[in-house]
Amino acid sequence: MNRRTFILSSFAMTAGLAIGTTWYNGHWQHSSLKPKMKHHLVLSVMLPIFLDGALPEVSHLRQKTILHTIESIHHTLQLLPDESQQKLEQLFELLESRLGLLLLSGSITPLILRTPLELINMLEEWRHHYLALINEAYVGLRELIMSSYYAIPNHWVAFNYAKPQLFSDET
Amino acid sequence: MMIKDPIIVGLASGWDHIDASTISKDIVIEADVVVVGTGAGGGTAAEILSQAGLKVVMLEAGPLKTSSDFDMEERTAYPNLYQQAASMKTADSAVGIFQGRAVGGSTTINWTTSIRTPDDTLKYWAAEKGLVGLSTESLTPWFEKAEQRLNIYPWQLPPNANNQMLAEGCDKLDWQYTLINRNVKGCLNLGYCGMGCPANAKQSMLVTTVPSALKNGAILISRAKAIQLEHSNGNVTQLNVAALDETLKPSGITMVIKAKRYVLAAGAIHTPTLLMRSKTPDPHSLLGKRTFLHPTLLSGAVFEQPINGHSGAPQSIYSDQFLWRNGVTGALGYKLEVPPIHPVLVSSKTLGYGESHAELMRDFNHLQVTIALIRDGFHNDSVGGQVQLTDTGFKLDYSLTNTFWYAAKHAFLSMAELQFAAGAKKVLPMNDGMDYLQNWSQAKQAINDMQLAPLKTIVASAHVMGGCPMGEDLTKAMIDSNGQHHYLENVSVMDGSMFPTSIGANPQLSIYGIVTRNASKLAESLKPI
Repeated sequence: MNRRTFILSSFAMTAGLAIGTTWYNGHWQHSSLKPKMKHHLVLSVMLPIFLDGALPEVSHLRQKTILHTIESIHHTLQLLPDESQQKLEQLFELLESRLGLLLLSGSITPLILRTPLELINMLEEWRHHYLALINEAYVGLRELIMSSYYAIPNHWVAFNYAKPQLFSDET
Repeated sequence: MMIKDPIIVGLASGWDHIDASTISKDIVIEADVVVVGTGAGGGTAAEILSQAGLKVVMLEAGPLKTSSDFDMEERTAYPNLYQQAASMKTADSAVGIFQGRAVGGSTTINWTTSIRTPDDTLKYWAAEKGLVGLSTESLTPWFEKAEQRLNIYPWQLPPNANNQMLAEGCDKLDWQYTLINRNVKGCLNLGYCGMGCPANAKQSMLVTTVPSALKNGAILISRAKAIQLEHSNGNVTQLNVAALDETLKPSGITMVIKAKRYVLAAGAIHTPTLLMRSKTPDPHSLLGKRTFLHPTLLSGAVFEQPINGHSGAPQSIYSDQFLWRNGVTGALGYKLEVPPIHPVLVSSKTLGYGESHAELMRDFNHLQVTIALIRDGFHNDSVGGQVQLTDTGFKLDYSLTNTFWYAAKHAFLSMAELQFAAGAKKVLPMNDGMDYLQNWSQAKQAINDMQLAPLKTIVASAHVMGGCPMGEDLTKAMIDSNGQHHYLENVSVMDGSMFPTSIGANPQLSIYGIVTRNASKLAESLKPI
């Protein structure tokens, strides 16, 4: 399957290409986009990489799962302390800007135009970077995605897990 | 048959509970005692003080959530019951911290392990930290009382497979292990203690001491954060409280509580920060320092047979084979236990992404996890962390020193050896860059060679301790051995912040026993004539 084609056909192009975001500017600008639409593009690119092997192979199920996971991520973000929210927001904004991408990955090529292998190389670079701040960005993004995906009961079927049924129906 | 929710029944019968998110105007409340926090320390103290006929107000920053809310799903439990939705971390993000934030505190979400304070720990405190009257012998009746109150007995059912593998590994290697005592009554052996007991079997403060205090006429105020103690001439005159909204952010409404006695039991982070915010005397700069975590390493193992670590009592076996391996003050020792295995916990506290992570998750029901809790605070180079105030609240700096990493490597080796001895097909130390290890011989080499570092090695903590230590030596202690503040006449501290080191065991029973003692002494001195 051509993943890039899938991504392009699945999600609206919502991200701007702002320039000049800095890692710790202390304030992130509220987007005019509806909250549930924020960062859809960057997440729709990153989720298939993080969740490769876990997402369904069937195209429409895969799209649906990605969409649900993005909704779950937005829900998770709202539960985090302000400081953590701000850090993750800044990371998303960096990933949505050419300068930010240059800082984080050494290239201004938008994520959506990168191959899965290029995206994996970028993540591996963050994962093993000498700067703790970059490691922290990787760990934060990874935890956000994993916990949001695996919090959804529909996603437990793949590993045959279900919570106990405590109450029996007495009808 | 639906399970009855005793809290809902009690509230309907007239218990005095104020959900501060629902109040619309500032209020002043007067009481004999205000207890800040409703966890192991606060709940225990509130029950004992209210039994003595004192008018008690219990203050809790978290919400009142009850068994009706406990749906055994992490996505509900973490935001409802844990500090920072279970995402709390040390300042450098290297240690993830699990701590309760609801009525009942961490007792609402802990795994029920109940272990008395080790004799070696108490001896060290007496010899090095100036504690008086807290020996194994003198505490025995208090532990017995707490155990009786909370139905703490050895777990009677067979361990689940996750714990059984720990026992089998120990058997094969001739390592020491012990059956765990649990604070449960009518336990259904579900395995969801960490998400709030849906059957009210766990004898947490939520279903024991807090209801008992309410029956004795105490007031419970939930979603209310203690902001500042006003004090003059060595006496606290009032406690200023911020009402929180449903999302636990300040609503703008304030409360003032005026009491004769202030019992601080907000835990090892929030008790020190309350005292720091209130600028209480701290001539030896002790507040928030020496904060201990039992920093914990994880090792995963895949077995041929199903493990189903999500099912059954989360912890029923532990091993102290290496806890005192070099004496009390030598190279750091560690306790071996297992955690419950649930999807969010496992997926976020493991490593990597993509196919390798998906493969690990596909093995979910065959996954055994062993954890090593490092006993911090006894060695000279293990001074713990520091809680500090920030513009937005607090931060906890905890430096993972070479002494810690040395112990961590030893612990990874022990865990892998144990898991292979128990029959694991492959073992995965939770350290970035590691792949599955296929046998003990390969594991020994690989673990000895592996690089450990913050953010690369998964380190977690469920036990925050210290920051407001007890003892008679003013240069080392903020409170005396009875919990009485050294500088504020009408303030006591009764929670995990009082410990001068970590415990070397899951701390809940240490808090129950010592607070039962100290709150009983306090009740005696305050009892209405």
